[in-house]
This record gives sequence, C-alpha cells and structure tokens, in this order.
Amino acid sequence: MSDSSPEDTSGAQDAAVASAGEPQQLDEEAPAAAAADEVPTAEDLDAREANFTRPRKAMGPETDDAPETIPEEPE
Amino acid sequence: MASVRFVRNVGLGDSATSTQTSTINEPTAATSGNNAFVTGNWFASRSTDSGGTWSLVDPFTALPSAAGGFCCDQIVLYEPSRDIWIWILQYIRSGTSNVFRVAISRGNTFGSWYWWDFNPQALDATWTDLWFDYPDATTSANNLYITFNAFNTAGVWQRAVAFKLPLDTLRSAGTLGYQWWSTTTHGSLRLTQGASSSVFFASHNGGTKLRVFGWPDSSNTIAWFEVDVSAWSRGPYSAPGPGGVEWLGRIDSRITGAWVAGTRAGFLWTASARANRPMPYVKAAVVDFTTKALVEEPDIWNQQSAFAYPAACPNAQGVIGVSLFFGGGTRHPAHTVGFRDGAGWQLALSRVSTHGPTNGTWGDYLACKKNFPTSSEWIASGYTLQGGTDRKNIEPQFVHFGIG
Repeated sequence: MSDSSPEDTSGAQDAAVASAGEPQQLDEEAPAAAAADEVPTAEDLDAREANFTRPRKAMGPETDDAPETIPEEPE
Repeated sequence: MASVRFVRNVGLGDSATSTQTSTINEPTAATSGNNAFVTGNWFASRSTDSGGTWSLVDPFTALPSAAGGFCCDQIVLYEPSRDIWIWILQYIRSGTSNVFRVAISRGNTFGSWYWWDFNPQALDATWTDLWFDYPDATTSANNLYITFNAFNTAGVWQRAVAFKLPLDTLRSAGTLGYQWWSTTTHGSLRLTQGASSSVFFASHNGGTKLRVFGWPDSSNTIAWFEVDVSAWSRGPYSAPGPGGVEWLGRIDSRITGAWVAGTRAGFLWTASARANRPMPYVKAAVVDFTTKALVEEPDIWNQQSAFAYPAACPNAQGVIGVSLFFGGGTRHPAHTVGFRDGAGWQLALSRVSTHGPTNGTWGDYLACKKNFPTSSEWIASGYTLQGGTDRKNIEPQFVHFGIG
C-alpha cells in the first residue's frame, strides 16, 4: 500500500482487509484469574509512574521541523 | 444565558480505583441508563446507579493476560444502536510487539466480555518490530473506528494505523473481518465523535496546514484534503500554578478533540501562548467537509490560566460539548466541562486540584461522549489531585452534564 505524501493537498487510498477470527471468551471451566496478570503491587505502580517522567513519545512526523545540525569536530 | 447543569459530578475514591491511579490518568467514560463505566491508568470502574457508587473492575485481572501483560491506555464506549459496551485495552510489548484488545459486553449481560486481540503482524507480516500505543476510538452508524500510533522497540514513531470494524459482527460475536489503513506521514490521528455516515480524522501537516481524512461507513476508500488555519505556536508550553508548579511538562500539539455535526468537522488541540493569547489555549478549527473550507476557529482561551487536553462530542442536537483542563496562575489544574454557545463557550469547573503534579506530569487525553439515553446531555471524564501530589492522590472525575 503506497503512502500519503505531506506534499499532496488531496488524495485517496484504499483500505486493506484482514480477519481477526472468532472472539475469545472466558472459559467457564477455568477461572479468569488463572490466565490473568498478577495484581500489581503499589511499588509496581510507583515504578510505572516514575517512567512517566521520561519525555512523551513522539506524536508523529512534524514536517516543518528543521533537522538538527551537528558541525564536524576538528581533526 | 445558558449555563452548564451538572446532573452528576463525582470523584472516584480509593475503593473505585484501588488507588491504581496515575498522574497521567487518561480517563474515559461511557453510560447506558443507570450503568456507567470509567477507565484510566491503571484501573476501570463500574457503577450501576448512574454514578452514585463505583466498584473496581481490575484491568489486570478481569480478562486473561496478553503479550507482556496489561499496560495502560484504555477506552470505553457504549454503542446504543447495538446495545454493546466496547472496552479497548493496550498491552505491554513482549519482545518487539504488543497487542491491543477490543472487548465487547452486551447490554443485557454487562460485565461478561468476549474479545479480539490485534497485533501488528496480523496486518503485515513484515511488521515484526512494531507496537501499538495511544489509541482513539469512535463509532458511526455501522462501524467502530480505532486509531493507534505504532513505534519500534527503540521508541521511534513508525506509523499510524486506522481500523474499521463492523458493529454487527462485534454484536454477534462472529468471525470478524475488518478494514485497516496506515500512514507513515501523519500521526496521532484523532477521530470525530458524533459520526453517522462518515468518520473524519485529522493530523497537522506542518506549519498551519491541517490534513483532514474522511472514511465513509460504506466505502473502503480513505480520502483527504487540506485546510489552512490561522497562525498558532506549538511550544514551548508553560502554565505554572501556585508555588510555580508546572502541569504542562508533557504536552504537545497533537489533536486531542474532534467532532462531526451536520456538514462540519471540528478539531481541537493545545497551542502555546502567543500575541493576544497570553496563556496556552485550545486552538479550534472547524471545516465544512462538503466545501473543504475552514469555516471558523472558536479558540478556548483565558488571560490568567491555560486550557489544555480538550476532548469534544456533539449531543443529539449537534451542540458541541467539551471536557478539558484549566490551570496555571492562581489555580492548580481543574477539570472543566461545557458546551459551545453561540460564538463562545460556556464552561464550568467540575473540580479543582488541591495540588499540582510533580515533574509536570499530566494528561494525555480525556473523553467527552453523548449521554445515553438522554442524548441532549454529555458524559465527561477528568481527574484532579486531592490532598497531595502522589499518584495515589489522583481522583478520576465522572461528570454527567447538560445545558441548564
């Protein structure tokens, strides 16, 4: 599938198709908890919270951004 | 003059969230009659009495694990045409890939879920180093639309992906065929709420250009056009509150609110201060998709405090409701709701934080949905800090409001 270009002012593309099959559901014979994640501890969640101090992930390309310029170092 | 009328405005306490809360809370909410469901980082909660009382639905254990385990981003929707609840959950990367889950619960068996998982390799077998993040979702007359960004294991943005899933199959629990589309040139695609025959989504295209994509319910073709909006600035952002506490440390200019009503689609994002806008504000652009022209720019701004992280949705009459934050200056961040009223906006604070966050952590998205069955009203999600700065001091806010 070709991609849209930032330079085009209008255009169109067709979607692709796929299948996700039949849904899954809880097995009444097996408790849900058996296949579930472990309940996180407060410390686990504190660690996740600490990760949020990292810079936010990019929202996508920003086409008017000038690239960083790195001058050559002297030999 | 019309004003905001609160039908229900309640904070979700510790028993509702088990203090599984984060300052990057990303709450969403939906209702159907007396039933209500709220999601956020890292909890979900359900009410059967119109938001009066809440009980935890733990996203770590309510459903079986997938990929590297439950991660974070969630969205809940209620689709009245098929009487289904839609719960989208993002899972942690396992190796180089992750999945997101679309779980469905029928209205008459609310709380009993079946689900489909989606991973990048199901779309393209060569996408082996790709994982989904930052979802959005909306429904039209016949489909559920979902968007995600996708990153590689180095954390570098790779593409955005949009999905279209038939509501009838989601309801019937049959074999789910679906359509999907991807772009490597535009990210953080925000879907219009209130759609019927077509869903729109938009992304910035550099400078003041906005690229608007349309995907009709009855077509597999995504078409786009561009509009020029007036000048705005994409940073730096700052709106320190009492004590100089910053709450806009993570924000960027991605579109976070979008709606469609009649022949118009509107888009909202947070812009930084500029001339005549002394604080960060919500930049608005409304386009007529039949003429492909910009028709108005009803910004939401204030002299003393910033507006940020807007979400939007039309009610049944096409009046645009909003859910957003207001803070800085003399205020810690406050959750705010309201609606478009003539040329302006009528807004009311639902709750004000007692503290500001440490490290500027706040966001990344809110939700505003049409209420059901009283569709002239809205449901909004928000959150505040109450009594401290710790993540456990976060209280999600469930707001049901209308026009007074």
